[in-house]
Order: sequence, then structure tokens, then C-alpha cells
Amino acid sequence: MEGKLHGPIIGTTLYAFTLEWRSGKYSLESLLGEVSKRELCHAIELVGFQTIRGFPNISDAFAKNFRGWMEKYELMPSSLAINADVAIRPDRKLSLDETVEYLSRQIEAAAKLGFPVVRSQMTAKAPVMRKLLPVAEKFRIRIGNELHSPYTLDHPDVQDLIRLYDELDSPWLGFIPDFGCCMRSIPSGLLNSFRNDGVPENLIALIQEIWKDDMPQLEKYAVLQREGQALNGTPAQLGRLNMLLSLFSRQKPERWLEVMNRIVHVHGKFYSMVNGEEPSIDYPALMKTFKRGGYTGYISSEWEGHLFTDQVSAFEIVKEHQDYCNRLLASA
Amino acid sequence: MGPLDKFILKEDSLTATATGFDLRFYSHWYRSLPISSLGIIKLHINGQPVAQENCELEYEGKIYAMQDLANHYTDWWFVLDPVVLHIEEKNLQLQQGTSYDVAFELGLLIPYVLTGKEEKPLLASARVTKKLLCS
Repeated sequence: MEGKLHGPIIGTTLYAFTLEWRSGKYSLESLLGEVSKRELCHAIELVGFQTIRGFPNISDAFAKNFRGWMEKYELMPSSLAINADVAIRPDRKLSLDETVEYLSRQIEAAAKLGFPVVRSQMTAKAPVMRKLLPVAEKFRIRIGNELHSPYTLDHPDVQDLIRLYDELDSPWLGFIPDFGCCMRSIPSGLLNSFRNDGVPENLIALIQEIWKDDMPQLEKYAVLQREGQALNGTPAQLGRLNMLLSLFSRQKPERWLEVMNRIVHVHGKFYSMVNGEEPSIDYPALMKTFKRGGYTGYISSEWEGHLFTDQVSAFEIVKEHQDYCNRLLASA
Repeated sequence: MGPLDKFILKEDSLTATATGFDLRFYSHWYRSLPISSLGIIKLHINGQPVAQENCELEYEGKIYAMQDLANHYTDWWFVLDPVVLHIEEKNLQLQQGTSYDVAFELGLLIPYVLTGKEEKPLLASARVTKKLLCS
């Protein structure tokens, strides 16, 4: 009801607390308790394979505990991130039916824990999603394919899914946009981490130039290799710059309106906060797009700066990001 | 590769055993992966390489031969747990109470990130060097 009245609701994902989780200072219960104590949100997303031992096998005892923690700390499960590990075998990729079975077990786990939505990945393509519809219906779980860079709306696999979902027109199948698709600059913290690791300035200038260019994605990889080698970039350095090209895309925020009616959850990806704002992502345009587009579900505050810095409290920066989003939504 | 690299080796990671020594190490990926994801494990002690054939891996009481890791794609390695590398290297006799320069390379195959035209899993590599006191 709150969502219908007020538009998007800001939640968070335990993925934002990756370094805190790995520090060994928190059990799952104490991490949930800390999120609750700091009033970060009520809606919790988590990655099954990150947080739950034995996932996707969920014992009755764990499910009971988990549901109890949700109640005790006044939280509610928003989305369970599941993984389409299609390259898990050494000899070949999982077949269509094997992938469906692999994901079905995780969807069943989501249902047992009380999640209304699962985040799937674009390694599960249209034929898999078609076969998962009865599973989604059976467990009453909405499945969202995460549109994470480089899978922007123009990617052929995403276009296939848009056509499939228009054909099936089911409320159980949709998308989960990730704001890493809509970057306006490369996070300066990441570039600084490259500098600290000895990547020279001419390579850093090169990657920024390539990233901002409108050439096709595959051509960007080729240009980076060719011109990076000419600048004496090492394979390790070029590998890291290559990863950057995959992490961030430059799609216009307003383009999410094209699939707004199919969005089941959102990843509010961010990397840093400077003077109360996220400098590398156009959040004002994104919040306006989702509010005016009529989206009433959750946006998980997803800090991913832990990829390049451990000098930030995830609890504090998530709070700052959520305040920012709520300010923008109030004025959108 | 990033801040998770600091979790790979801990101060108590190196221990002498009756037949050689153990290296206890952790993942540098954010989520649990199958044992088959352990694509590269390379170790040097005081600059001396450790041969793969003198190693085996243990997790949750199960022993894995190094050349067979890729086939164990249904055995899950929980992200907060260490795995133990057992080493029996005749030319490397580690002493308790002595510090050693440990150079360790860990390459993890990420099964949901496909790279290149052949769509091979991403190899996420990390290299750590650390002086560890053998206990």
C-alpha cells in the first residue's frame, strides 16, 4: 500500500556489506540486526550464495530462523539474488533443461524463505525463462532478469527477452535494472585504485576516452587491447581496464521507461557519495524516471565501492545514499 | 584485484604438520563457489615453488586431488570458510616458530561471467605475498 501511495521504496541489499560480512564480525542475525538498528530500511535483498551456507538447500530450521529474524528486526525480504552459473561444468555449458533445474531449486529456496522476487542473470536467456514461467507460477515468485552492464536494453539477448515477455505477458516474469547501466563517468575511486596499483596515467586517460566513445562495446575491447599494448600496458593492467568496460554502461536513464511495466525490482547501484550526491550516476534523472513512470516497488541501495576501497563504512554510505534517493523522490 | 584479497591469507594460515605443512586460504570472490572454480593455485615459499603433484586440497573433511578439482562442480565452498592445502614437499621442511615469505596466486573461475567468443568463465586472479609465522 505504501508503495502505491508514494512510489518507489528504498531498501538495501546485504551485498553492500560484503566487506563487513567477510570481516567475521557479524553473523547473519547480527548483520540484519545492525541494518535494522541503523534504520537503513525495511526491505532486505541478499545473494543466496553469499549469505546462506548450503544454498540453495534450505533446512526447515534455517527457514524458521530467517523468518523469525525478519519479524524480530522488523524487516521484510524483498529480493533473493540467484545465480545462473551456466559455465559451472569444466567440459561444457549447462543445457537448457539443466539451467532450468539449477534455477528452479533456487526459486524454491526463495519461496521457503518468504521472498516475493528473485534476481536472475542474463546468462539465463529467453528459452530458459520461457520454461521457468510455470515454476514462477507454482511458487508465486516473480523472476527478474538483472539488466546489469553490459546487458543494456539494446543488447540482443535483452531484446530477445523483451519480445518473449511481451508475448507471454505474465506478471511473474520481468526485469531488474541495475544503475551501473546508466553511468555518466567512471568512479574516481576506481581510477585512483588503478593509480595506486601502478597503472600509468596514459592508460587511465586511454580507458576514459574509450569508455566515453559511442563505438560498439566489442570494438571497445579491441581498441583497448591494441592501443593499450602500444602504450606498453601489461596483460594484468589491460585485464583490469577491460573489466571496467564490462562494469559500466552509458544508457540514458529515461530509457527504463521502455520496460517500466515489466520491472519487478531495482538495483540502486552506487560507488561513492560526495557532498550528499553520487557524482558518477545521474540519480536525479533516475529517480524522476522511476517515480513518474509509476514504479511502486523496491530499489535496493547497492554500494559496490567495496570493489576498490575498504576505507568506507558501508552502513554509513548506504544511509547517505538512501537519504539522497528519498530527497530526490520527494521532489521528483 | 581488490579489498577482498586481504582475506585470502591470515596470520595463522601456515602450519607445520607431521608430513609437511598446510596453507589455509580463503576466497577473494564475494559469494560461494564450487570446488571446481579453483582454477589456479600456485605457491612459493621463500621463493621456492611448490609442485602441484605434492599438494592436495581439503574442505569439510573431504580430500581433493589437485588435477581433479574441476570435476567437483557440485561441492560448494562456503564463502566464509577456508580450504586447506596440504603440502608434502621433500625439499621444503618448514619449522614451527619460523617466518616464511609466502607468495600465493589464486585464480577463480566465475561460472556466471562468460568472456570471449567461446564464452569461457571469467578467471578472477589474485596474488598475495605475506610473511607468515609457521605454527
